Amino acid sequence: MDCKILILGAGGLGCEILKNLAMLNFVKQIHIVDMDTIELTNLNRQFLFHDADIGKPKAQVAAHYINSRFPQLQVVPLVRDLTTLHSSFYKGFHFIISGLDAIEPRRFVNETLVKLTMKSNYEICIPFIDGGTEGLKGHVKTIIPGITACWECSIDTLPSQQDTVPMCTIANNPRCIEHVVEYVSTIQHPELDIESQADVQTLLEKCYERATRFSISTEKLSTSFILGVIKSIIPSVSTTNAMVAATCCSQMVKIYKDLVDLENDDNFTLINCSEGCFMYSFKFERLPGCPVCSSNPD
Amino acid sequence: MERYDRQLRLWGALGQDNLDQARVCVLGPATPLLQEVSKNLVLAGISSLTWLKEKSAVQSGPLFLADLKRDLEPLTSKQLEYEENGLEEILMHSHYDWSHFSVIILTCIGKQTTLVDLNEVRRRMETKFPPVLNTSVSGFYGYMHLVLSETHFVLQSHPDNKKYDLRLQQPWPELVDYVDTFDISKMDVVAFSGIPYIILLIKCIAILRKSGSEKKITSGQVREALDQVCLSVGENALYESNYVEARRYAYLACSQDGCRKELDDLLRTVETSGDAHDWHDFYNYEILTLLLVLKVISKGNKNSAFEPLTSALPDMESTTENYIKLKTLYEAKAELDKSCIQQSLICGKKTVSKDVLNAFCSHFGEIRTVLPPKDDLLGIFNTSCSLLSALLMIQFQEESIATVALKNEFIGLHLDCNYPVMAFFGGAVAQEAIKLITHHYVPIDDLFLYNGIDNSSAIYKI
Repeated sequence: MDCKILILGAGGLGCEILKNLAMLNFVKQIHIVDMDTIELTNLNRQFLFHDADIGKPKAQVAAHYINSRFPQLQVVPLVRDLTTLHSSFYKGFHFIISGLDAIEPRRFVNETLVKLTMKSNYEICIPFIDGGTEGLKGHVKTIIPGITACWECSIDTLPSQQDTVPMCTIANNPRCIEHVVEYVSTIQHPELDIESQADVQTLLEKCYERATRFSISTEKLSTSFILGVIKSIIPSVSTTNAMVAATCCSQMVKIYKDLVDLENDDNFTLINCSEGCFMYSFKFERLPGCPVCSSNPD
Repeated sequence: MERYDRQLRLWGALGQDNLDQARVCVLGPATPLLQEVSKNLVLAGISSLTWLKEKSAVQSGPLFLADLKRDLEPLTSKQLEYEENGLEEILMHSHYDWSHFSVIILTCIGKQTTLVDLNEVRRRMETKFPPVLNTSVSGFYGYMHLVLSETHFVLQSHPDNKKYDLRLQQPWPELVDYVDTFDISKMDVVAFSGIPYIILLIKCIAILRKSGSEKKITSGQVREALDQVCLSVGENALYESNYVEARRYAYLACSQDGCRKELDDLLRTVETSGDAHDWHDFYNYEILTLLLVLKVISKGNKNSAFEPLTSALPDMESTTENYIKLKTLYEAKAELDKSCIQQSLICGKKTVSKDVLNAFCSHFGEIRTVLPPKDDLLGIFNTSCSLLSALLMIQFQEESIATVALKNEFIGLHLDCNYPVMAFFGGAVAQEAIKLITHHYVPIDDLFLYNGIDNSSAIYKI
């Protein structure tokens, strides 16, 4: 069987996944979906892109890199929002591997795949392997729709929006520079666009003003700091990306080569390298009342 | 620096600077593992790379990069300093400068003599030899072994939950004076609600001490005292967030500080950081020098432990004014402690760079150590671990893959489709090298074993 695989996301994980798959002789066709364009801050890990590619669509540049070097493989780029793709599109793949950074598109794909399995009465069952990273930590979830826990089954394990500071603190008793940035960007000047350099500069000045008024230290204040607070930027590095993407691809190889017991083996893997190096897997059970994969949702 | 924005958030500008200055040596035949390690390091900002090429036939799948140098160059914004040499020739060369490498990474070494020869050089050079990461992969399994030649000090371990040094049990005079300015019994609820919980807790401890409690204070006692103090304002005080925080963190008032055994053990036996020139990594020398300065200051303080206060203060319910005032006090004390260390350095005629001193003082609680192993590079051969022995047998072709595979059905198999396993190790090994170079995060100590069939790992100490 020639293997046809869909990669969701052409970012840090996506580039790694694409490269690993290109090195497997049984993979013949890969589609890669991503609607983003390349930015300078991507280049510390998204190695299929170079400085001259900044501004170009990620999926296209990644596909071109592989197609031009490995002609035996066919990579098809799709520059679009994956939630606009129909289930008849998803149906055409043997595996779907995701390296996305948002929750909603994952939920969408998960639901699409579970429905495909249910409607076809298990005739279609496409393994969905999902990777994620944050700093030196990462996870991999292997979802066999209708058989093992789906993405939605474990949604309650995601951390809730942490450390939310009450609005009265931000408005009346700001104590640290984060509170200042929060106030200036959401209350004082919600109209400023953080994608515009000039606006970010204005934001920076306003933050200085407010911090000084409350005698709060401006030591940490910079445009990069402000963007970090507003966008809640997740740190990212080549090494963790490599480990998580590799684990996703290993999962795919093991399923393809029939080296695993899909029903009973561990389906969730955690990786943490901040203290030593640690990898742990466990079996996450299906949620009996899962709104997506159970036959009688709550 | 914008290029590195996403990782600067992990190890800061100083860590990135260290990567920029570092020289990495990768050693081994042309394998995907060697390429992956090199690629990840260059992406992270390593701009000096030397490949000492071992001539040995290793079974591995196809390579991703057609030409290592040419394909790595576009991955960095700087000029890549790249060198490639035959390993066999270099090992014969008795004057080769190994010590100028920050880290040496051995990947899929095919000949045991390479390890033996390198181990001999390491033995001769003593502490001047760089840290070695030795790694190899077979099928879905692999290992990574760290062999240090000198004690490695981690400047910032970055724990998930930061432990703040608040000195609740030993407030210094300026802090005591400030706490005393709050007369809670004369306050209304509004004024009360603006007092940071730290102040409430220090008050409670003072009350407990005054009432003669010389023994260890329990969190139960602190909570009782807290209720009494707050009830003097009125019942409503017990609904205020600062009261709730004080109650929640009462256990902090009772915790015993200085419970870092590994550091204490090390400092008990070490008296001097010696000559800076005897160290391979200057950071290690500087950090040990600073730790020993603390010991000297403690001795001068009638043996009461001296630890520099970190100026970090967690956010807490408070008016802006009270919080800023408190923060200023913590910062002033931290500054004072730092200058105390500087003074002592001058007295001891030692110098430490400003960057290391600052990081040391502002993240004091995060310092960690990793000691060199008792054994050497060949320590992996004296093991009773069956997975490691099997991996080594395959690596050095002592037994045919078929024989080993009989004992463990997966271990020698799937060599044609294990590129992802090579890529996994490429990430893991590069990460350990980055930890050693930046002195951020704690490296493995000292053997990492990977089982890619179960997706699990284990750490062993050789």
